[in-house]
Amino acid sequence: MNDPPPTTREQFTGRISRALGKAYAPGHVPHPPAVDDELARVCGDDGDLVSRFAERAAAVGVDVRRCTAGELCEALVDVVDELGIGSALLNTERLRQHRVLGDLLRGHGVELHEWRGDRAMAAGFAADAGITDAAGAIAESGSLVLATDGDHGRAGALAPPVHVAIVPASGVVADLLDWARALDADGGCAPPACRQLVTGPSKTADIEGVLVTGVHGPGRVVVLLIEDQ
Amino acid sequence: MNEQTAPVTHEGERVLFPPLPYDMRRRSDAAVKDDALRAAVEAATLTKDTARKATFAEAFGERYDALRGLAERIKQHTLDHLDYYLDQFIDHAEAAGATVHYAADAAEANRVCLGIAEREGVRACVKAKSMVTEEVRLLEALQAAGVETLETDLGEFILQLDGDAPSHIVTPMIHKDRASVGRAFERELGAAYTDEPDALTAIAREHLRDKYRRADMGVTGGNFLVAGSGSVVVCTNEGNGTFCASTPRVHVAVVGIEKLVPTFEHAAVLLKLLARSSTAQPLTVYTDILTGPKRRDEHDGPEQLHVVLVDNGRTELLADPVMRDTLRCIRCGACLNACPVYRTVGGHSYGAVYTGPIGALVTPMLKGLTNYPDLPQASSLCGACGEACPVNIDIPHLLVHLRNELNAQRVAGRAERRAFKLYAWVLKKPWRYRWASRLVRFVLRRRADDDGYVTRAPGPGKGWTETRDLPAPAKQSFRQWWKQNKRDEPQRHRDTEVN
Ligand code: SF4
Repeated sequence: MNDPPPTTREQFTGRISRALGKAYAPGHVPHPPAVDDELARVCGDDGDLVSRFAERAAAVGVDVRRCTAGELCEALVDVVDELGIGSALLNTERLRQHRVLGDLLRGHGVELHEWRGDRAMAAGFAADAGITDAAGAIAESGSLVLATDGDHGRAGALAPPVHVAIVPASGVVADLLDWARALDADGGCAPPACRQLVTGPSKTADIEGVLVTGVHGPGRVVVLLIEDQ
Repeated sequence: MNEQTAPVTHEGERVLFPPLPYDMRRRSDAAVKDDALRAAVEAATLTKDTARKATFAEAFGERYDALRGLAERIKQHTLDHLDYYLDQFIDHAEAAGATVHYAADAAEANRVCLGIAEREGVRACVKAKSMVTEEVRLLEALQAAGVETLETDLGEFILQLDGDAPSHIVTPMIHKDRASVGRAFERELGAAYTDEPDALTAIAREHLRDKYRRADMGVTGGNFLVAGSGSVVVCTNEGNGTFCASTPRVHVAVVGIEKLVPTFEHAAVLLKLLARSSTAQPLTVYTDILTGPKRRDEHDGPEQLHVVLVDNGRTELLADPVMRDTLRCIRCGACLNACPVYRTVGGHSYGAVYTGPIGALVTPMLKGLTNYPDLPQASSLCGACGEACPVNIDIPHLLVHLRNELNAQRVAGRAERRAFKLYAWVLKKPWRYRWASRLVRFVLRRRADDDGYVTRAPGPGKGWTETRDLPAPAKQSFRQWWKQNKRDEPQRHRDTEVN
């Protein structure tokens, strides 16, 4: 059986142009509709954004704990003890305290999985928890903003049953629109391969509409919100 | 593992791909009589519909309608200039390192995916839920080519295991109960029987984690394509989409061309509407923005990202000045949850991948109106679907449009055509109308029981009274009553409401 030759880009877009009554794709088009904040904004950027984020994140099932930079170590140890975390994937390179956190966890008997090279996913599947720093957060939806790069993998926030995210208060934006506009303004820079908005623990209600968490991703998401960073 | 990948009904007919032309009646009649099914679907959809309304009222209040207007304009603008935005998307996606493929139809979409699988020596594949892959029947194609492929969305996983088919575009196993899941897991996975959703989910979790690790290829759909950055946006609540796009070496995103939006700002407006409309959440739990494969300095993620752009009848829709509005659909499922017909007959009655009110429009358009002549009729035109739609698709209007098309194509039965001819003849002269209505009144009143109801109407009315009783007509027609009463004491009736 001979397959027909594959459709080319020109054939493919050409058909669309013709369907729209044009001979070929135009070089420019009218401006797309302006997004009016009056209509689309849910969360204003005035007032206490951090509290609003904490409230909305709690509403989608995130365990939010507020602390100062000085209290971070203590807060992390609390989480480790409380959830019985014996091994972790530590992915907090963006934070000033990264080295300190590593020593602290090891000193506390937590095995840290090597996650660089091609071990990343295996480490994620083996660890009790992924401890990561978030690039930011969105108050409107209580979402964490994650982004991958050489120091930030995908496994930590995905494969272990617990995800502990460290979020600096300065990274919280009010509305999804604020986050989106920052990305659009970034246009020139090379974007990361994967950005993620994580809004609560992994959820399903497929079986008779009963809500169950932790179906594939973490069933437990803890946010350590550093108020003075 | 169940090798069967094409679920069939009791009659041995494929659930989503029945013989054509499709006769809806048989399945909808059976569904209506299945009380358990009806109760389950009704409860689930009503809960969702109520939650959706509450969440929009809370987040947007009075602004909601205007916001839907904005979402409509964004999608319509992108569709009006789809060639331009598609070019932009392709340039940016390629610059980020993705490989873009072009699938004119379902067969080509499958050929492209099989080609990738073959070149990359793929033996195991994990797949996230996606309507377009169901539309082109990718799962069957992969399995037939010897690529072990597993659905990973919990609902789809269960359906695949149990040889059943999805019946809702967001909550695919809305028609199934927990006991059937327990039995399927016992039979197919060797698990001890349980019907606790928590325990069942844990069984699936363990089973699938192993599959994620071993898979060489992950297939997902895409909820949006952002032209300005060349990104694919994938939304899931379970995180299975993220796994499919992270653990395997090769990620293939199969996406319909109507998913384009100009910028992230526009995507944000639609994201705000999507999860609220689907499940009353502010956002889906995982909203992944994927731009190219993993970079050289990254430690995990797919080495290759393939984006398969699918046409499969969409350009024909685009060229249709009326029906093109359906391309705005963001597959939120709100119109299904709002629809009294869907609630009563369930998804399998639609005999196709796309169900509910939007399915009644899209299926005839993609597969031929004469192949699905019943679908545009499967609506009471109550308007609930149109009101629920976050991108303002006037579904009732489009259903009527398709009904007109059907009539124009003379698909309507001969009896129906004759009845309308007679009706038109009667309406042409006042005296004919007067005599005809007198005749109907006379016949029906004679048949009425003591309570004043007709339980078996004659002739063409028979079908109507099979499922409900018809109140007998009043003794007098309104015209007769008016003649007698209009001169007597007109004051008396001033405050009486006329229904
Ligand atoms: S037609 Fe509208 S309501 Fe129905 S699924 Fe599509 S977007 Fe949602």
